Order: sequence, then structure tokens, then C-alpha cells
Amino acid sequence: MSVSVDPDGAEISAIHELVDFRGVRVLEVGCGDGRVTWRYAETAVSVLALDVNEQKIFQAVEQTPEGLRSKVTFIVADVNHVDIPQDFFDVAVLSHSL
Amino acid sequence: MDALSRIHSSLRASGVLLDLHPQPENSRLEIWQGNRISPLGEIDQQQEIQEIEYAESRLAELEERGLYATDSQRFFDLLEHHPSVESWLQRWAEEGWQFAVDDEVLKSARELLQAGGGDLVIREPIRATRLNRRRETAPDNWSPN
Repeated sequence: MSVSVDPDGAEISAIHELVDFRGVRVLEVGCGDGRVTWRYAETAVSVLALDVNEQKIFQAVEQTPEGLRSKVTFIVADVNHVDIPQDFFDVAVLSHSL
Repeated sequence: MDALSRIHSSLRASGVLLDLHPQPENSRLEIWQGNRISPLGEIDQQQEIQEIEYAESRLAELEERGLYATDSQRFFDLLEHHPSVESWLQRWAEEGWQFAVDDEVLKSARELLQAGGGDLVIREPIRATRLNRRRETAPDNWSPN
């Protein structure tokens, strides 16, 4: 048996109860290995996902489903030290990184 | 400028911030064997709790200054299943998370899993908050620190 996080779907339910991701541009800060990203990316227009952990970003890129590769961009970056567009995103996600 | 302020300026006027973070309390360790759940105790996460409390105060400060407004919240337990004590300890060490757990709790967990199989489950209380972006920019006299 491998490690399983949120097998009962409590997290994904809460996310989709709070935000409608259909047709939106998303900035995710602290995306880690993309575990949360995959839970909303399918319906978003685009996702820019940042994390300072290079290994986690590598895992996220490796595990990106083929159908999401054109809309999800993972970058090793600190939100405080990277150029991000101003007045651009519809939704920002802080996943366990407040 | 800190992260929350940078995120604020990156959002459109109608933008939304979705924040997911643990509640400032210890996670709990359980053993699940079929329909039976054995609660074994709490994991001491005092350092993380202090960091969460500080971050929450920063977010509250930005709300008071009118940059964000809480719209709605959800509370839930995030469950993390592991096949063994070692699997859990290894993952948390790799993540760099600071925590302590009583040796007796670890001993009980190992004995239960060895005797009856099942999962070691970490139960972490989470708060998910939707905040609406307010105001175009921070006021001129506002400092994030």
C-alpha cells in the first residue's frame, strides 16, 4: 500500500464548494508536487503554479497529466521574488502555504 | 511587500483568494483496521502552530486594512493514510515538518499494525477560506510590516 492523502475527498469537496474554477486564470502559491493543482486545473483556463522546492516542482511536472500540459505551468519560484502579471488572475490559491 | 500583498496586486478587481491551511492545533494519529478506528493520541506540532497563528494574524491584518474580505469558509479533516509508522515518519521528515510524538504512541501504533494490519492515519484539521479581493491597491501610507 502506498501513501494516500485525502482518500475521502474532503479537501476536493471544500475547494469546489468555495470556488468555481470554470474558465478562470489561476495563480497557485506553494503548489508542492501538484497534489492540489490537479483537483481544479481541468476546468481552469490556465494555471501558474509556484513553489520554492525544486524537487517538488520536478515531481509536479513529471506527473502532469497529458491533457493538462498546455494549460498548467510549474515554476520554481518564491512569489516574493518572481515577476508575475499584475491585475491578471481570477483566482489565487494558497495551498498549505500561508 | 509580502506574499499576500503581491498576490493581491496580481488578482483582478473581482479576484478571489482561496486559502487552505491547517488549523492551529495538533494533528491526531489513529489506526484504522476495517471498521475499527483506534485513536492513539496527538502529534506535537507546536512550532507549526505558532507559524500558523502568525500567518493568520497577517491575513487578519490585511482584512482589517480592506485588501481582502472573507466570503465563506469550510472546515474539514485532511486524512493521510500510511501503511506503517516508518512510512509516515519518513514522509514528514522529507517534508521537513517539525513535530514530536510520544514513544509510547509510536510503540502502540507499531504493535496494532503488526497484530492486525490496517492503516496508520493522520487526521489534520483544515480551514479553507474564500476571500474576495478588495480595493485596487494598498493605501499609500500602508506598510506590510
